[in-house]
Amino acid sequence: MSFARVRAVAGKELTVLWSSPVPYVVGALFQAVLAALFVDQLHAREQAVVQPLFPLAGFLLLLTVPIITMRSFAEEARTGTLDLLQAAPVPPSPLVAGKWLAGWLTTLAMLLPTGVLVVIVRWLGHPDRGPVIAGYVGLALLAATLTGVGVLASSLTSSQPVAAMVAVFGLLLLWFSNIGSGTLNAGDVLAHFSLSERLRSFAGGAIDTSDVGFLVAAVVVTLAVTALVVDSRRLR
Amino acid sequence: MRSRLVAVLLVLVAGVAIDVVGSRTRRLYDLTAQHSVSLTHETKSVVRQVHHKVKVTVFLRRDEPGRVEAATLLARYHRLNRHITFKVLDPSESPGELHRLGVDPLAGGMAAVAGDRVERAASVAEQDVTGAIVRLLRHKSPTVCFATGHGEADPNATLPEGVAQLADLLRQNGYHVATTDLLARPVVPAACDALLMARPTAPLGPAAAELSRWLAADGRALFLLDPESTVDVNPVLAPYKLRVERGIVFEKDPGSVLSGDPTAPIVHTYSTANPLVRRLAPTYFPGVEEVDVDESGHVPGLTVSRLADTSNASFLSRDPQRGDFQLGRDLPGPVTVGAAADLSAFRGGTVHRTRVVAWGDADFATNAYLGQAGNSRLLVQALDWLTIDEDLVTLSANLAADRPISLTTARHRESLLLSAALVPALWLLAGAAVWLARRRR
Repeated sequence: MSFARVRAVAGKELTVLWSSPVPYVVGALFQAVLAALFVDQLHAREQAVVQPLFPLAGFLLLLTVPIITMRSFAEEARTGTLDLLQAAPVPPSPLVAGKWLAGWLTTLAMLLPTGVLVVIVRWLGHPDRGPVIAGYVGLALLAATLTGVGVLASSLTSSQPVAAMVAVFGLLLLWFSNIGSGTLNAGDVLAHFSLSERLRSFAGGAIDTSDVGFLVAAVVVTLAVTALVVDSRRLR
Repeated sequence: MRSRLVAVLLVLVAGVAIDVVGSRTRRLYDLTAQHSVSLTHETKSVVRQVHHKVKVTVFLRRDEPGRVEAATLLARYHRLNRHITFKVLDPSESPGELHRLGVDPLAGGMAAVAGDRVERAASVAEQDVTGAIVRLLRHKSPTVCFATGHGEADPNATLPEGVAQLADLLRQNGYHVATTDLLARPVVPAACDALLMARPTAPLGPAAAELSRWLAADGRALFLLDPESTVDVNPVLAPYKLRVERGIVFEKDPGSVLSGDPTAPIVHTYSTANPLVRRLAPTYFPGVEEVDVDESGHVPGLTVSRLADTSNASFLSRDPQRGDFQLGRDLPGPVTVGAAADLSAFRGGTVHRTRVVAWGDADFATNAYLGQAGNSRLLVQALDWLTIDEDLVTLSANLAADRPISLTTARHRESLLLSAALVPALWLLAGAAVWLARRRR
């Protein structure tokens, strides 16, 4: 896989994405809702802790990342430009990786303003730095996984709203898959795939290598499946 | 096509391999200042002994501080041993579960269930969870012996000055409750895991020597003293650097008294990391004297902590008839009203530990005041701290530091304005600027 091609695809995707109102509107709403919920938590706890920020941000990302990624393949399929791209004798992996990279960087950019909330906690008290670092590492990895799922959903359809809905419902299932872990026979397996479970250690202030491994593996798998889907479309 | 399919399959296998290898060779990098996410070695050794299902149910309101931390903590137990499962419920949404597990609906807390046995704890810290699991594993509940014979508060008395409600509360929390008459037979029974002496009013006589002997032999005792009592327990407390200072505390901070009574202070803050007062609501002491800590000299193995102080505006009056501060006679605040001592030594391959907790008031534990503020929780946490087997659970179980903030209404509004309005507005403005620039082109 040529990284120059990945960079070129990502650059083009970023230009298109940031020329549209989507990241600005989604980013503003994300920040406003997250800030309102977090400041409320801060008020209830009366403690200079940032830990509640990360589960809240993680859940809101489930709803926002699919909106960022919904156009990546669906729009190209609808307008027919995907066929043009695929006419070139190159494998689909740089295309998939480039679109994923653009989506991930956009999501990371949306997370940047949440730093204001950390500054506020710092202004009000003396928070522990460890959970801030671990939490943002966790959010970055979670964002990578969510973007992978979003890009995969987008490759399955030529309709952007359908792509977003498929991704949101898929991610909600993954987020809440630990709920029945105590009662179902397959509970442990379901809990293993739970994204909320995976974010838990990061949010608490620890980096667990098994969580890092799972989230990285999830990115690899979703991108591989996306490449397969895109490739099969070319063969049709 | 086939080669691409193989390549994709290889990537899929690689993805699963990363996950499997990550799970098998997991390492935890705890970045918190107090390593509060890591379980202690003692907890790990307990958790490895669990071979049957243990279901932990935690009752915390959705908006209650500590919910995320409790779930994170319990997830660590679950990951270490899959026999331990947990759920976090909102008590207002699960009254049936609360009733079934016998958890106090007002105080909340947790219950650990193994088969038909239930162990409860008032809070959800590592020590509480591990303590509950230890009790489940041992099939034995600790016995708290109420000392009688010297005019102490009666654990069977349902009158306002009795402590029957305290005895019931302890039973609900998995304790066996017994009484021991130290006047009739000044020997603390071997079955007592902790002794509770609440407001003795008659001189202890030979019982004082027995208490000293018993404490020195790894005893655990909770003393609830009172300004009204003239009994001198200082000889018993002295080896542990604790001392009762006679008098009565007058609280002059209007925000720290109930119904305007200056002799009934409310303690808001606990400036110690001792789990005995961790996450404790304000506590109310109707008539309290000082429990001072002797900070001179060093006794090997002895750790003494001041548990609760009254406000800076309070003072200890030597003359309760006068409500004003007399320089040179009274002691200025803050006044320590509760203290704990832990004397530990490692001898003959085992840990020997004596623990003593003393409060300058007994009224707060009586039927009249037990249900007020955090009083009941304080007493359960005190006995948990006294009776947990310290071979398995350490005193300072990686506790997260207290990091209080004062979020006044103005600061709350400013924080919201900045983060929920100004920053999103700037973000939208950036979008509008890009849109305008594109239109101009």
